[in-house]
Amino acid sequence: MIKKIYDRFNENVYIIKLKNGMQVHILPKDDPYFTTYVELSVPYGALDLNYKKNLETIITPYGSAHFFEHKIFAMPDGDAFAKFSMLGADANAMTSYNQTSYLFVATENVMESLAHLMDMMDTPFFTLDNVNQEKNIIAEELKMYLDDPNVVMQNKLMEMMYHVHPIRYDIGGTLDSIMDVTPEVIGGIYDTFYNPSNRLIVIAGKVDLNQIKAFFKDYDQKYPIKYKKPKTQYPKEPKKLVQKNIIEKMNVGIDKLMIGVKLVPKRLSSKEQIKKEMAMSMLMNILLGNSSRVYAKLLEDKLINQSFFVNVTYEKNAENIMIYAESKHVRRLKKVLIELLTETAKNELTESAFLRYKKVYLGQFIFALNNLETKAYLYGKYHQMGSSLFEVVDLLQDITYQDVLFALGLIEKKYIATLIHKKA
Amino acid sequence: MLLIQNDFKTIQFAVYFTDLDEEHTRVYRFLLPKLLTSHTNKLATKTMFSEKLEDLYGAYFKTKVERVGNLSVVSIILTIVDPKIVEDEQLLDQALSLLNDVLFEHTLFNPEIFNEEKRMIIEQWETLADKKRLYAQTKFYEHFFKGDAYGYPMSGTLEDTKKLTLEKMQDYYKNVFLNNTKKFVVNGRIENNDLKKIENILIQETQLSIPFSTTFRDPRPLVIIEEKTDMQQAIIKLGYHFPIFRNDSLYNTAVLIDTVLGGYAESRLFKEIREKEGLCYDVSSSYDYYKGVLTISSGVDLKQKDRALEAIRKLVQVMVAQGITEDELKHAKSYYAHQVKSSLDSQSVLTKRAFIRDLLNHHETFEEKLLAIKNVTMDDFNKALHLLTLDTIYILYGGENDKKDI
Repeated sequence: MIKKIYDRFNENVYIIKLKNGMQVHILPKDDPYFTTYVELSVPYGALDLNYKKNLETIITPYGSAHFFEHKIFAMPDGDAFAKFSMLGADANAMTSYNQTSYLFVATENVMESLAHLMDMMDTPFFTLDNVNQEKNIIAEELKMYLDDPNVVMQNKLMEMMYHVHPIRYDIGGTLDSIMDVTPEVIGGIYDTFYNPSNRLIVIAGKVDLNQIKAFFKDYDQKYPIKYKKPKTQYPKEPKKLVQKNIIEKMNVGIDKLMIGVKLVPKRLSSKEQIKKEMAMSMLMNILLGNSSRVYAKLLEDKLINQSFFVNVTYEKNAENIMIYAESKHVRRLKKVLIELLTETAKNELTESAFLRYKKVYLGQFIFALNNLETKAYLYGKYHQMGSSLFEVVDLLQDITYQDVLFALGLIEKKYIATLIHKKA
Repeated sequence: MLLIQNDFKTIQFAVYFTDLDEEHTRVYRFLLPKLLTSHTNKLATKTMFSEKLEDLYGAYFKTKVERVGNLSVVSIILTIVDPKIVEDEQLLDQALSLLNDVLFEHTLFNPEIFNEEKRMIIEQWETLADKKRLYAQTKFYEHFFKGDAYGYPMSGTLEDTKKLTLEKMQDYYKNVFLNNTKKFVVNGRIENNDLKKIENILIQETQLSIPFSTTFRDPRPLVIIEEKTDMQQAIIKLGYHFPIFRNDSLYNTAVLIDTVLGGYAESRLFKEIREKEGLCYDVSSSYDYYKGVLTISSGVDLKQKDRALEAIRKLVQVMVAQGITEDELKHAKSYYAHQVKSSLDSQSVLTKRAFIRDLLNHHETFEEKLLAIKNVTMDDFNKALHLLTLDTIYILYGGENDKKDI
């Protein structure tokens, strides 16, 4: 077991590397503490639709990763969720674009729950009946999101920006695509992405290190095979947009605007990629965050309300910025925002705002460490990205004002798409 | 002041303003915290205020107004990072000074900010129908709690907001709000020297003189409301009269009933309606111990809404008539105990819990609480189950054109 100490944040990490390739990272919390949070993740998410198996390329339907996440809870003797509940643990799972996580929170029966989690992962049970039954449940989940105008617009905007990249579709897929999921699709995903070599386990909170060590020593003996890393394939995405502007008449209370900026991804090391994402996120905060001059002016001119938000996404081969607003003056707002992004932004940037945001990001990092669930999730996420949660603070310090100015240069007018939902 | 010393990496300064809940003051109490935490005399604009928070390592205010029994509680909570971690000796002083300005030192509110906050609340009302889940919840409450304080929006009505003036708000702040009962909770790693500084700011604490009470009307004949709109699903809401309140002896039993019925993944609603019948993605129950009601909520397949409603109603009827198994009770107890223990590791929960315990004069220890859960019997369970009376059904559903075959 390797021990890493992060004095400044009063955090220690213990790492167990199994012979089969699986890694277990433990972030203990001293007494008095009741809760243990366990997350198992695999670097396989909604974007990993096409993968290589022997010499063949397997193409899976949109939403397969999310569908799998639902189905792995099915076990021959019933639903795995129920057993977690019986043990007094709270289980959950989530699928993102690039990883899938399975987690539980427990205050008793931690080792029993951990054994159950591993058992669930090692007991695939995919039948035609249980896969078909899940289609109804997932369809209702997708429809629930489709009743949210924000999600509907986001889905449409992605279709306007991306030709073939899987980010074009919702993480859960579409009502049509999930109908194509079969037990064979799910089984293929299991065999390729879910072997022990591909799993990362993060345990945070109240722990008994010796018990955990003994558990995984046994596990390693039980599952000694080390598997090859799976290979995912991405279609080549053109730089240009699919469609630049759409206005749709909708039954809405106030008009809504969504702006999407398609960025051109470059191959970088994982650390450079994290820095690049942070610099872009800082740029958007300086331009449109709560303390920006532009944000104040937009409020003053009644162009936006509290629903306004900006989101920066950096995924595999797909990078974009999304801006959302409800507005009674939607065309004017669109003009102001596009002018800002493509012409006037440089006048709004100041080094003092940049330095302030460096403090904010450091603060956000500390806030994240305060919450067990966020800490474990981010720890897993950065590890899967090839970095480390605690290294992110150093990467943050490395970002310069020049990096932020460089990020601005990546925004090009021809790659900006706009979608308006106008009151019918 | 209630002080919680621990080693969280942040410090929370919470202030709770408590008064009798009245419909005509809701509009003030909803908008006021937004005004207070958007500017001060020294930081006259939202931009200046935001810059200050950013400079304090992204410190943030969280505000909320809620009804606790017959009381209205406005909470204003400032969270900062532990100054020792960022090695900033000025941070605590600056944060305390800001908190003091936010709470007590507003002489005049900025009229532009007042109008802006008003506009934003009005626009929230104008877009309510776009957010189907929120709309369904609002309409359900209107019907279930018709004639009751719960049926009146916590924000006041749209008309209340439109009529609100800056002068009235100023007057309410100075003459009513600042005279509310105030309770302070400080939660984090605090040195003795720092404690004195905090006490200098938070000295105006007062005790509550209004007796706490919980009530709800008597059961009535079942009311069923269906509303059609433009959406993909049907949202079903059932409201049950369930006269067990926070201070009642059957309180823990009521929580366990909620757990077994729809509180977790082993619940009957989850297993039957979602997993077995495949009628929905989300289905859950929720028990309000200040109101004495239990509600069930689910988003279901449009074409199956009648079947789903019938299945949910029947499931509750069977549970009331036949009770539950020993295993169900055992698992629910274990889950409830886990929730109680786990909540003690959350800084925000600890802060709120300290305030509520003080407000309601609760002294039950953590060990006593776990024992009380353990001691709930099957007799208690059956006795409480028979207090459930279906009162209101509300369904919001999509039109024919929106249906899609699966």
